[in-house]
Amino acid sequence: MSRLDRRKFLKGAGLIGGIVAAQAAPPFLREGLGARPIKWGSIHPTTGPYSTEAFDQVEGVKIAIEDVNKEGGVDGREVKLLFRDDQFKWDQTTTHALDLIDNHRIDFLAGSMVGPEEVRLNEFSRKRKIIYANYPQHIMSTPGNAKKMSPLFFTANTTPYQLCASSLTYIAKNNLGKKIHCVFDDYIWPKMFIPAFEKLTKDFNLTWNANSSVSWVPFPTSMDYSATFPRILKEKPDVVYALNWGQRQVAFVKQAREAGLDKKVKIVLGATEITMPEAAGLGSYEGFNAAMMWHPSLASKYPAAKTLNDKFLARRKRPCSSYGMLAHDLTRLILDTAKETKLYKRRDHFKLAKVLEGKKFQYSKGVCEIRPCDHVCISEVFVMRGKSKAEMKDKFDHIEVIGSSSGEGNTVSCEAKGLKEPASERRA
Amino acid sequence: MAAGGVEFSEFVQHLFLGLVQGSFWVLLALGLSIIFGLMGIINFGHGAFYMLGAYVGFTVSDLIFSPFLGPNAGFIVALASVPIVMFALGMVFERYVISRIYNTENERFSGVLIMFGMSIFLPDFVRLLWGRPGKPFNIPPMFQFSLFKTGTLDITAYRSFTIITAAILVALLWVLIYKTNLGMMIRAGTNNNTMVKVLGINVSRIWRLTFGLGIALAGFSGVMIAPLFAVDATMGELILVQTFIVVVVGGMGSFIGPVIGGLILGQLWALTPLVGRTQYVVQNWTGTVIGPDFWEKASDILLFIVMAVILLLRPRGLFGQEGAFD
Repeated sequence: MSRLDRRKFLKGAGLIGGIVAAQAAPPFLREGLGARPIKWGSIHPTTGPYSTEAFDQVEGVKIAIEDVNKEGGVDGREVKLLFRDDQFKWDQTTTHALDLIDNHRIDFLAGSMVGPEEVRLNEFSRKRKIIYANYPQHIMSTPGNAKKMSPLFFTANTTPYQLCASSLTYIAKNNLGKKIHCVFDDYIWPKMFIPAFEKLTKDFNLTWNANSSVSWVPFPTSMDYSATFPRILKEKPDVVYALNWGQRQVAFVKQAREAGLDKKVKIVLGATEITMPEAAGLGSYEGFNAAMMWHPSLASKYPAAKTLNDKFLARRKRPCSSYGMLAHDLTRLILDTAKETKLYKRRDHFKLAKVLEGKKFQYSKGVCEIRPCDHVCISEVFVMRGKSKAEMKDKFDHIEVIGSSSGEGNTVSCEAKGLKEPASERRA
Repeated sequence: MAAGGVEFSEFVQHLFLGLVQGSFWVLLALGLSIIFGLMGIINFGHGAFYMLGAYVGFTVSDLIFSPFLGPNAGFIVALASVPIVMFALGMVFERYVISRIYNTENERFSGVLIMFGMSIFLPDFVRLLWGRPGKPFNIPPMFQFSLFKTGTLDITAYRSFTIITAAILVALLWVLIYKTNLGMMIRAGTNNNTMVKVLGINVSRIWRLTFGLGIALAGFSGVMIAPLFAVDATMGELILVQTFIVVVVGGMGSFIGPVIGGLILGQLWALTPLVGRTQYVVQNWTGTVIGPDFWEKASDILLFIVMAVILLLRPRGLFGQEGAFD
């Protein structure tokens, strides 16, 4: 056995030291040595009140990334999901975004569930010049915020105006009545529907007034909507238009049924999701109408919707919600476009944004288009009716899609927002 | 008959809704107040136990009994069994967790931390056990009818049932605390537990029973309130804020305080939106007319204002024990 001399010892120690140093080196140095994966940094509140929806978003992103990887990745590189839970705490959103951008050198920023998260991630996108895939219903492209929107902000979701337009179109076309009374939760999201109501009720010749036709419900502390019912019943509207979400919507539906409000007026929910009728009980949405971004029953119309929903059923033992679908479709859109153009590096994001502007795509519903001036996704919005208990085929079958509307007429025009050039050209 | 532009029937409608809301708050606040009164623990986990009661009620009613006995019997079994289950849970929790902090340094602060921890732990535990989406737990068919109408609003059977049940429960609790030996020991323990120990009474057992009773009340409230709201892991977070306001206004450690506090605040909550519908014009300091939307939004804010005023003028609350926070 040969003796370990000083030279051999130093060589061995150097080798071991090198390996240890390589492991301890920052991710960008380590990945520089091999084929660097494309990193999709996604932040979702999987802990907290919207965890069901957030988990659906994560699943949608995972399915999209797995499919892209199965098809060869982007420019031969694997796409890697870096998922973070911000626990529905905005400081955590900021912390995770900083960590993902600075330490992990992500190529794409994604996620969020509600406005405060979206606003923060939009700022990161604007300042760090990184494409941000926003999954929930967005506030940055509304008229008041459009100029603060990052030129690299993209979404597949609808705006409050689009949701409002689909419901009011349905009310007007089906002659559900002229007089509308709104029950709004007192926070930013329902307030964004006011300008839409002001314009659209005039267009459809409906009776509505911002000062006298809205009952505001304190948010978030009060979940008892019954104090608004005496006023509603006194004013005798034809349609009650309610905007609330999650367990608050479930409470509203239960209380409206308990008070018999649904038998006296037509109730239209500004937006709903499959989890809400599920929490309210079998047949609880019977007689209610609502607008929706997507519904799993569209699987019978679009093959891609069926594929996505089947994957969800297999993995999560429940149908895909619109949160899952929107996260999936937007992730696919950006990655597929990056694959086609090979513009995936951060320095190329403005070029990639330019390609995405005006791009038409179709994954889980009808053809959608990213409008260049504000990146609003011109897409179908669906109107549903709640099924009775007898009509339900299984425990998830609460809703039937009875109509849809789409087209640029359902949105605030670029001119009305004062936007002329494509968003990617507004770099300043 | 109309006063100030508001129909009398409209006034009655709001009184009724306020009574229902007040009854919910009374039920929840009593449990909170009893635990604080005897044990000095500010139970930040009360909302979480209320939520747990609703989930146990859903399981007992919808999953176990309704398929065999029907939804009416399922609900009644839930209403009867949940307080027992929660009472037992409360006793076990007191025995193995709370009792460990007795006679330690910062005993009260440790109690607050433990219960605050429960308010974080229980919702995620429930999500793990029952799944993330909310659960359907509805009004049983036997209560799905209108008793009579006042103006345009139906006075419904279930809301009336909650008022009557809350009243019966308050009466039973009063009898328990003021007319039984156990109640006497609880009250004595609240005033001077050293003296009670010297007299040979097992104070630990009384504390355990009291904690169990408080948790049972929280669970019972969960079953009662859930059919009108949503059964969700976060349902206890917000109602806890209102319950604390009721207890602070009524008086910590008092029996009558949360009852009166809950009823007063329930009426304040329900009648405030009515102010905006009177013919009287209310203007702010700039001369702008304050519209009905302000009064609707103000119904919750006023609860906080009342609490702040009470804390400034009478920190122990309307009926609270002097030095309860010492």
